[in-house]
Amino acid sequence: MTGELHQLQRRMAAAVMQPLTLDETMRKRDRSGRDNHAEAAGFIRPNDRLDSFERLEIYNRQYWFRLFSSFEEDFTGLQAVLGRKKFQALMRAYLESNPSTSFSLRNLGSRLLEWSCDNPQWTAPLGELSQDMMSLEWAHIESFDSASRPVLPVETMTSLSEETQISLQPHVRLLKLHHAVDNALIALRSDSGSSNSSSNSATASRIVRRFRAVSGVNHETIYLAVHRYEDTVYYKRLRLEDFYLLQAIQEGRTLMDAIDAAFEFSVMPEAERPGYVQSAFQHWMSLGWLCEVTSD
Amino acid sequence: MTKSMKALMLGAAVTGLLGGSTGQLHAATSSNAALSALGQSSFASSFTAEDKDKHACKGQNSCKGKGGCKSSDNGCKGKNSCKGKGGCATDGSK
Repeated sequence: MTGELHQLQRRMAAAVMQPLTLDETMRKRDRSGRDNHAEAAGFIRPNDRLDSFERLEIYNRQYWFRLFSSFEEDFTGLQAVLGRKKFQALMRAYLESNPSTSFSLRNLGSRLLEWSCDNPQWTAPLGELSQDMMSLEWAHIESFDSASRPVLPVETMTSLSEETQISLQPHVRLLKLHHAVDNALIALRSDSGSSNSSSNSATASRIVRRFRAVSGVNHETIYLAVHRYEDTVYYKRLRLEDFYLLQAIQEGRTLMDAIDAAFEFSVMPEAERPGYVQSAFQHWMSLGWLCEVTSD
Repeated sequence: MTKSMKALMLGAAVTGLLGGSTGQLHAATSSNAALSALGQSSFASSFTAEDKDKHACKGQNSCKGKGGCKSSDNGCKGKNSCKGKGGCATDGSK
């Protein structure tokens, strides 16, 4: 009985998760060429209003509408960069190549950046800008959900040596980007209004979010920390020295190695460096970014 | 980096960390006892909202897939395309 139920569940899942047609209806045949009408009739009874295929189609459509809606919500900035038509095409291609394998829709975009680098045709000719935006939007999700550990204790601070390793909070994400997408995304979200809820609503036809384009995104190298403070995600511009110092800390390098890394590409006069180090560490500690190294 | 420069840098890092830590404690507790325990009461940093920089506004995702996103209804209620068509029944009765 358990085996039969498991088999039925797998059959249902396979039917529900198969991609829709471009008209957002259920395909008449699955990828292997099998007739979906026959497949549906094999395990779903018709009723007096809908046949088996139509009943299955409801679930198939709602499944994909939910994925689309979640993906659109996660990557509003990318949609604004690419435009609706290109974004929709990219979204379908990505989700068909990377079907959801997690219990949570939160992970839906986890492979987007890598996939996009491997499939540049979906973002051309705005590949670099698109990848900057998707990096920021994914970092936002990661920062929102990642752990927060106890900050560095005073005992550790007072016993620091050159060889000491400290760690960065898991919710601090460091990005080196080539466009000022932080400003663009904030402006976009301000226009759209803040949303603290994700709709679970199932709808007869998919509601496509109101589209806003981003324009005039400056091409410049920016260093950014995406971090969480009191349950809110912030984007913080960093100096070049900040970025390399924090990155070295994140990589697990010793304190003195990390300080060295900060100035590898820096033009800051040597006399100013101790003052900078003091001020940087003080600021990051105020934000609760620094913690002890843990075994996990 | 010379030895003396390294020592200077390390000292700067420790001073910064202690200063930032005092600022945190000050913000969290305003406890004079906690500050004096650190011996740092004179330079508690003044931490302001601007220090966090740009507020990215949107809280998202944590509830996804958990069914808890709507505060006042259960998501599906009354909104399914299948409503009234028998497509939603889970007991196989329709």
